[in-house]
Amino acid sequence: MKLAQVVDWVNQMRKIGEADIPYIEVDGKFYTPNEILEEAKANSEVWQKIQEQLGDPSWGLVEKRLEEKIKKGRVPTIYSMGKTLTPEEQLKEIKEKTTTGWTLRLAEAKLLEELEKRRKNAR
Amino acid sequence: MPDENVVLVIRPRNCHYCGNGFYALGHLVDSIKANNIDVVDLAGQDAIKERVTQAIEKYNPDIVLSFGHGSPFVYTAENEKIVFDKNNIDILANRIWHTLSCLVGQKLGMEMVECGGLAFSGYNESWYWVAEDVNQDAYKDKYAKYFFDADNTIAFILAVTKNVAEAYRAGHDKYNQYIDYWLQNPDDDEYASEIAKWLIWDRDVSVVYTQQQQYVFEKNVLPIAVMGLPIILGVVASYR
Repeated sequence: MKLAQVVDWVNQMRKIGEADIPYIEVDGKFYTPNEILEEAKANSEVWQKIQEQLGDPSWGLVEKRLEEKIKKGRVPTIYSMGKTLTPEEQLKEIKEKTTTGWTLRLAEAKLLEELEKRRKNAR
Repeated sequence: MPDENVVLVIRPRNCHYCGNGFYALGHLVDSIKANNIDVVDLAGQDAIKERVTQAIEKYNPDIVLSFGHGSPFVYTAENEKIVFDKNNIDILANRIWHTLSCLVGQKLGMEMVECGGLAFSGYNESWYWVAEDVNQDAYKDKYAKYFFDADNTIAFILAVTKNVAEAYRAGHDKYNQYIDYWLQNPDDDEYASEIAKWLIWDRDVSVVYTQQQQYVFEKNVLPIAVMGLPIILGVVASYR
């Protein structure tokens, strides 16, 4: 991925409020698109690893993303027929690993896959 | 055989978080009528088992469109009372049923087809949406309208064309159109990626079963015994 492509991608992620949300986990550390851009600019060792590992997510990353989004107030209350889940309730379901918590993880994983698909297609 | 120019719509008002859907299906009724198709609109207090049974016997509709609460085993409407379960699902034999209800696709939808239904269209997991106000008309809600309009697209195309594959395709196109919209976020909404997330979820848990085959998002003609599993396994398998 060339630096100009990273810049375009991060700008798009900023547009949808995802630039400061973890996008990849490398050696146990989470990196947001903003941080990925910094690593790319520095052409660091981490940047080389990031390029190799993009598109290979972990459940830990999915959970971290949800936690960060809820902490930053980016998660709305969601509804299903007969059920409402505030951001705080969503976090509780995730932490307690309930069936609903797994649904929340799975939905986040699907979003991550969609974002990754779009990143690849934009190249 | 059922009457090909009559559609039955079931839209409860008095159930948890049913306001958005009640009004959304009102728009659906208007759209279908505008295409010169007769609609039996069982709304609010009329959305009960007795009235549904009477309407099916009297008007013999070929298409039944509904929303309300669901589980793998039941579909409920007004006051969250059961309308369809295994004891009466055969009333939908020779008909097409689309319902905006959680989980009905896991079991009751299959049973409907096994009992002679021409096709079932619905969701095999919980259907989630986001709303500013769950009691208002979904089409006046800046978030809810995208969710309900995507589902209404499936219902509308079914009512007008009677073509299950076309309705499924049109519904998914609409979901994809709205996912694109939210991932571009032209209005700089703070919840953009979350709205897209739940539209992706709803798209991916939509299912169609017919006498001949069934459709799951991007996966066609799956054995009925494993319906639902391919979606979940497909994602889980790709995660560390």
